[in-house]
Amino acid sequence: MKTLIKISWRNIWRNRTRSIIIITAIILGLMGGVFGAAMRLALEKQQFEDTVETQISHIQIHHPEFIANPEARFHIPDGTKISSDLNKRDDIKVASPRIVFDGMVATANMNAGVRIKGIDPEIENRTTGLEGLIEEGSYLIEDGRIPSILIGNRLAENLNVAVGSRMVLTFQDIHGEVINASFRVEGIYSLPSRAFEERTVFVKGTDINEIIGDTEAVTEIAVVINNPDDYRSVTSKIQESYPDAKVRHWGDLQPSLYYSLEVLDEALIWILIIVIMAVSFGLLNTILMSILERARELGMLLAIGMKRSKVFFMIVLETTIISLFGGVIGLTMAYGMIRILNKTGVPIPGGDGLSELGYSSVLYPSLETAFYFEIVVVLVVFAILASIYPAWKAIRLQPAEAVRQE
Amino acid sequence: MKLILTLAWRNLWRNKRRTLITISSVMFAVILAVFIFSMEQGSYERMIDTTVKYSTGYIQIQDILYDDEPSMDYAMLFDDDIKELLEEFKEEIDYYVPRLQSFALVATDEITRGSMVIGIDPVLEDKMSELSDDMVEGEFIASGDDGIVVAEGLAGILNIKIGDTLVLLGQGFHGATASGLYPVKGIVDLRLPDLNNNSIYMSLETAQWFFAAENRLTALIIMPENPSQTNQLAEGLNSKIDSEWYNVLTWEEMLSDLLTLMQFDMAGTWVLMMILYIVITFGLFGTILTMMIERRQEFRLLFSLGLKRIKLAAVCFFESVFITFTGAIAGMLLAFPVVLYFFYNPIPLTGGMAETIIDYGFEPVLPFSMTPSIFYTQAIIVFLISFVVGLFPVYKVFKFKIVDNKGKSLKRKRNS
Amino acid sequence: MKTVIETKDLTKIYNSSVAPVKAVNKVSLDFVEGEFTAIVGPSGSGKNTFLNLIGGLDKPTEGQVIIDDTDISGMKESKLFDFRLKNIGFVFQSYNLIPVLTAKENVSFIMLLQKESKAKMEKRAVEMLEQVGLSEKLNSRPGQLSGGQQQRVAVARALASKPKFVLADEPTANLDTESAFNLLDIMSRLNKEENITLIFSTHDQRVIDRARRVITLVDGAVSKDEKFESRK
Repeated sequence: MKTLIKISWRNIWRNRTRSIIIITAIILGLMGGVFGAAMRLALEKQQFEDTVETQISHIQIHHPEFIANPEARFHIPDGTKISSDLNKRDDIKVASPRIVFDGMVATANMNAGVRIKGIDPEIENRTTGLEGLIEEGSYLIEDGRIPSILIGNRLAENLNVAVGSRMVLTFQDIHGEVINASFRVEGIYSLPSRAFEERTVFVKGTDINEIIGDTEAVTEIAVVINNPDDYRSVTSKIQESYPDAKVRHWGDLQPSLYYSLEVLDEALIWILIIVIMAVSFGLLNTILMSILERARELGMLLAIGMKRSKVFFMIVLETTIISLFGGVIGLTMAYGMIRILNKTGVPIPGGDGLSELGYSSVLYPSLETAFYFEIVVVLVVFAILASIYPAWKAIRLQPAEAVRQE
Repeated sequence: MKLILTLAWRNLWRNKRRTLITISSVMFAVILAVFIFSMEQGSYERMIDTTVKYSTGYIQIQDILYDDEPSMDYAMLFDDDIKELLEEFKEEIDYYVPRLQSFALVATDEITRGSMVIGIDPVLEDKMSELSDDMVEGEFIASGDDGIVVAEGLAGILNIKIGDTLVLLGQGFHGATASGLYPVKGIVDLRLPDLNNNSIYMSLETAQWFFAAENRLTALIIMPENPSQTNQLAEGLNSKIDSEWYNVLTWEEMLSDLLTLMQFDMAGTWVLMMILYIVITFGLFGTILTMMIERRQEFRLLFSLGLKRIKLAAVCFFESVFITFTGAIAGMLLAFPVVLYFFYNPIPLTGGMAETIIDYGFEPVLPFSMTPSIFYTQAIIVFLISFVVGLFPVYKVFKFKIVDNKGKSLKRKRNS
Repeated sequence: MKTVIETKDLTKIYNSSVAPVKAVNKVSLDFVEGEFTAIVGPSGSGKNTFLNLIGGLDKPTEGQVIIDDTDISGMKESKLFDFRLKNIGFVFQSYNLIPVLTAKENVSFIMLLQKESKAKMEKRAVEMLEQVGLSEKLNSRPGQLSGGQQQRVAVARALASKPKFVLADEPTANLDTESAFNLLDIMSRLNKEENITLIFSTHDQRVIDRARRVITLVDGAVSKDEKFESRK
């Protein structure tokens, strides 16, 4: 075995340039593949943050009827108590009680449909970091004569309003009566999601509860949990505690994001497999060329009694060693590259258009260490597959002919 | 020249297997690239087609201020000037679809909600989006009808059935109060939850009366004879229209957000493809290099026979160009039927992903695109690669020493 | 004296496109221990085929090859590999050595395949290289050796595992006179001292002059079988 490894290793360096080319291809391929995978991961992570952390939270609790009919009358029974109970649990970081319903917002010359969210400003900020999203004006703090409202950037543009403008909200109270109430724009927030910005306004829960006539009504509780990976188990625990409410996690609320994250791991491996497949073609070609060049030598080995299985194994070994050599260098460099890019960030070309949409135009790629080991396994598997044809070619040599072949 | 090409071609087939493997690596890259781009483009085209068909149309004419502030106050006048203009372009225009829409409150005895109220020409609108095919109950409205068609989701929220009467309340043109009672004539399934929970259709005449906006439209959608001529038509319209009052928008302008996101997604795929091509290039490079090394003796022979370096360089250059091009063309030829097959038989999806897609009103399949650019872009890339790789042997030939270090100018091998 | 190789009606027919060619036609020969045989004949006489057959590299169409009481003509390939490894040493015209291994490693290689212990292998390799006069070149790679030296390493390798006989296929063809004689000296000495059976296929007169038995093949059949017992 030791000698076989030695032979293989020395064989690799017989044609130095060719080996260096294929090793460089492996290194560049792996670095590129890892880069692609890490960027993809960073992007999904960013989308998760944008969607789950700032918009919907890990878990939401509603009255079962509320989902089809978002109206104040479908509030969660004992909502305030449930919310404060949840805040005492140790698997939950924070639970934000909200009074949420659909309504209409009108200015002097225009109106639009919106979802009105009545919040406790302090708890809401701990839940979604809403205060940090304020672009103009200020967060819901002041207790003015006219109740305050936060609206999205794009809604402000559409309605042509600014901080300080007044607008009228129209909605139904707890009894189904239509109510008009005047609000003053206190702040304008900005979020990547256009739909969310256009459709969601925030007001103080205390203000709105007074208007609808039920100071205790809670229609939505948004929950942030301590360990995001436990979202399933926490969701079912909460559901068990409150069987009358409908408890849903972010995957139920945002199925498209859920499925794209679900297949993410596979997608990342596929990126690598595609690149490694391309590398394998080069590897196959390189090994095959060296077999054809060494026909006589291999014939001699067969003639003096080296078993075909051993010769086969030797070729496979050669391929594996090349791929491992290139693989270890490539992955080490890729690891270093990702570490550096994680610090410096990667600007996205055409990022201007994206930042206009509210996406960050710089990504910070990162990858778990386990992923690098998975790549090594995939690489070696493909290298072995690529070596089978040349190795088969090698053992098909007829020793008697090969040694005489000029 | 012909001799050079012949030499290059025959040289390639001296080692058939190696050439085939190298060609197949190029082929593999091209097939993969075409396949992936076709799939990605296919999904986007479907999304764009759907949006264009159900929502924006190819071209819209609006009041100049409406795009910034979509208010009823900025509804445009659909007057003789506009009609004349449309007449002028009637060769290029298939048909046009007028719309007048704004937000309004809709109420039953118990429930009040906001909804988009869309005034349409039932015949033309149906021609564009085949809306009447999606009716789940009742009848589609006719021109001048005073009934309304409610989207299924909204009908559920309001808990109404055919024949019920709804109160609509909104803001009309220039602050006029818009209000009225309208019987529900039909219920339509709009699939996309956002639209399905927020849409009411009425006939254009009824809407104009409701919003007190006689002869006015918020948008005039124009469907071109030939959708690929959209931009030319839009430019034509723009040059003739009164640009102080009107704005001509193409779907690309209306869907710029969506397009930016798509381009961004595509950029990711491009990065992957570039990596793939770099790896393939190295493989090519390895093959070319080996061919050069193997043929040292032959080069000496050819030089001593008097072949000029430039000619030999050309032979070597064409060899690498042949390899890459044969691979690229074979790749495209093989990818074409595969993509064509999937174009007509898209890959079905299953499980949760499929359900989500059905919820959004799409068939649960991965559609493919047959846009020619997907094919020729790969050819251009491969051409550039072959050029770069081809330069290497040219360099080598010019650096080649005819007399080697040991001073032997021509050592011919026995039997070779 | 003991018979090492015995062939009985050994026949090999190649199917060419025109007509079947009898490359070896009913050859029955015995080779006894310690013989130094040269097989000669013009090209196409079948000497290479004959050598391949007795070396177990090719299978006869008819007839038998019996080596040390074992009939190898019907042997399965995997068994044949083992048999060759244990019983037959090979020296070829060219490309004899593994270019990436040193002289010592090349000699050890066969023993390695035979799973000898490392110490024994090492000792034997050094000993054999001394025998062929290369004790100075233990750690040289084939590329650093002259053609004659390479062939001597090949002889050392062929003999290292103490085979029943050594088949040498034109070993001197690519060597200059001095190297050729040197190689032949070593081989004759080993033949006498260690009683190793040598079978050469050659048309090199220098070899033929040394052989104690010269078999001439013509058209696949034995045309002459001369013995020169007096040669030293």
